[in-house]
Amino acid sequence: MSIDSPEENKTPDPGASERTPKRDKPSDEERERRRAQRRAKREAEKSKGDAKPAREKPSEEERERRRAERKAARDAAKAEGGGRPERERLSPEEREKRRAERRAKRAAAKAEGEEKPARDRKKERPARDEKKEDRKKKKKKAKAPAAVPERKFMLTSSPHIHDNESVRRIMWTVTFTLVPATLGATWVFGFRALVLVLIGAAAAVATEWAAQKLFRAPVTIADGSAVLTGVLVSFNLPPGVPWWIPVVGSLFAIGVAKLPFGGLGWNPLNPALAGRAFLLASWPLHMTKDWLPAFWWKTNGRGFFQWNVNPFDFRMKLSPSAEVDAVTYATPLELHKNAIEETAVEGNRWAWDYLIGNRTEADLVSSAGHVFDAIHSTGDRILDLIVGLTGGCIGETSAVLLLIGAAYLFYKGYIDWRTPFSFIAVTAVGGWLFGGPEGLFTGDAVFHIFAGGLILGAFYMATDMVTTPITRRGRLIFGAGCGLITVMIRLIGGYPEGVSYSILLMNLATPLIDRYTHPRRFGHVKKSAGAAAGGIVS
Amino acid sequence: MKLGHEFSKGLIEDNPVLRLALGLCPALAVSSSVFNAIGMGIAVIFVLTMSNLIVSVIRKGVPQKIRIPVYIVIIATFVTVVEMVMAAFRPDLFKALGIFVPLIVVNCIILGRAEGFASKHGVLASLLDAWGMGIGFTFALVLIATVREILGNGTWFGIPLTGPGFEPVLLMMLAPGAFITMGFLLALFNWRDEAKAKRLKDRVVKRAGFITRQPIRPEGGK
Repeated sequence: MSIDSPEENKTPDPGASERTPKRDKPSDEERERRRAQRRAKREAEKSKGDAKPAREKPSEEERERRRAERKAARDAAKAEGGGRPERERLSPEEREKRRAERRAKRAAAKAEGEEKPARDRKKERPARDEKKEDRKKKKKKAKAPAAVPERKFMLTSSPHIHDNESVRRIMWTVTFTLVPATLGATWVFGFRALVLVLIGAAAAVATEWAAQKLFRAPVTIADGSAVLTGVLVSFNLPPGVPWWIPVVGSLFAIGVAKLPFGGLGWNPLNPALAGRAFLLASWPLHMTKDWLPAFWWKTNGRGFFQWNVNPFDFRMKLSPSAEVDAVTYATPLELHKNAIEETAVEGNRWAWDYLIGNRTEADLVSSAGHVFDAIHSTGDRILDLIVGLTGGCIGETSAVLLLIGAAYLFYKGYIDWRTPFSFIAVTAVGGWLFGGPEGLFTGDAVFHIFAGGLILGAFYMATDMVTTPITRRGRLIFGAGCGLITVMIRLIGGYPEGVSYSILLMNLATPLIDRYTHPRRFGHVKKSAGAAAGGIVS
Repeated sequence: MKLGHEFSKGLIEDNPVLRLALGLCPALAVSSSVFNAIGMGIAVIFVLTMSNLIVSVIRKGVPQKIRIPVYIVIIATFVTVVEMVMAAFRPDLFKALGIFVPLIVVNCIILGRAEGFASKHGVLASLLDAWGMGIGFTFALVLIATVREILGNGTWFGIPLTGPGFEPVLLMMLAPGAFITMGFLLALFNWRDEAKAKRLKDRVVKRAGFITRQPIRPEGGK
């Protein structure tokens, strides 16, 4: 049953051979070839071990029957007195007594010498780790119910805290914490945004499924990581892009950045961000010009469910000197970049004034002579940024909704505070130090925190378990590096936003960071000090 | 039979780019269009043929210690010839290939074949080896260029293949596109190789012990 099942897929099914009479009699070579193939497959499977072939899931009755069988066997053994004796429940006094006995024994052992317990600990360590890993693996593919390989060396020390986490659970939880941000984006950018997110997720899952089928690898689409990647790819897109952009982005993320490296756990780069980088390099126009203003669908003649939009309809001129530069309706960070450049080039404070709220969009419209239906009030721009009523990528605009999801992840312990903290802190301080129009210390730190994709990047991408450091110090360094690169790109570099590239660059530095931030082993003395101390003692 | 193998081994089995991973620099740099790839391939075939020929002829007269400089001088001579001819007759191609024409001098395929093959084999074998390797190199370049040109430009050898709605993948025309294409092609060839090795092993096993009514076909020509 178990060994044959993969083979049956191989042989042509009888129905097919009936339909095509030619297939009835394969040529001799053909038959030989097929036979050889089958044999090779069998060989490979045999060498891989017995646990490998996917067992058929036994039916409910079958399982019930087996369970009954096992129980009967157990009972019989008990009746014989040969099996494991049931532990009798001890009275509290008895337990207390035994505990005291054990304590006395331990004390005696300690008096005998330090050596023994130390060795014990050493022996136990790897065993416990192994067991933990084993459990994790089992959970990862908790499909085969019966085939639990028997382990001969199972050193365990009680008590074990059973941890109910698994890759699958974590990935799905992270995905669901993105739901508020998705719904918020749908409200602000129209139904289109939701569709783009779903397309991205579906394309990622389809890619993973197709690739794993093609290479006859175990299909892992149920673990949720592909869905999460697809959603994050779409979160990084401007809301006005055509439908095929998230498809190609997810295809690249899964098919180039993840699976060729070995799948989940082996990818050096964050797949979603690699997908974004690919899109940005391949279709720069779509990725930098397809912005839509918040609540564009409320403007004249458009509707919530409208799919076809022309982002160029929302173009407006930023500068009063219209001939000098015309930009599209931009994200806050693009305005910021523009302001930096204008300030640098001609001392034009105009764009800057707009940015910090001294001028409204109405000023822009009238001065530029362009018709733009400003929907949302241009009150407090920072508040707009925090709530998410600005232009930007689908998933990055609403800091509040993202933080709600992130708070749950903190609560569950899925993300560490260190990376987001150092990432955001360095970005804010850097923006405050160097980001102002009038020299040092005049930048707007709050603006730098809430504009662009910093919140999304810091909480959802820089905390990816696969591509970021595992040590605590390493995470602080990782976040600080991301912040530094982000600030440099925002203020000096060519792109208005640098969060995605900063995370990708630091992803590449992750192995190095991990190497240099090895935590000290317990009881281990530093090399130089240890050498000196050792010299004196011995 | 043996000589035929000297020619055919360079095509797929020992393809310089896709199996030996030699000459990657031009393979990545000039493979953005099929036209450039073929131009580069022809230049390399010419230089490789001539250098293999000369090296094979003089192989017994060259002192062991200075053989590399001697080979370099021979190769550089023919590269100069190619460069001048190309500049005179196909200036567009010459411009497109740029620095990579003079860089053929240090192309590891050419030096590798001179050192590893032509200096140890006869003239005829060396010639066949040069053609096989040269054509294999051209084949690999055209393969990479095909993927890159179709995806990155929507054309093949300048012929438009896609409709006006197609928005080309710009990345494929840039350096990362070359590396990605190259990586996938190498993986494909390794995969194919592994499958072949498995089949071969299987056949041996069968010969060794299993009783079969099927006629056993020996591996042809190899």
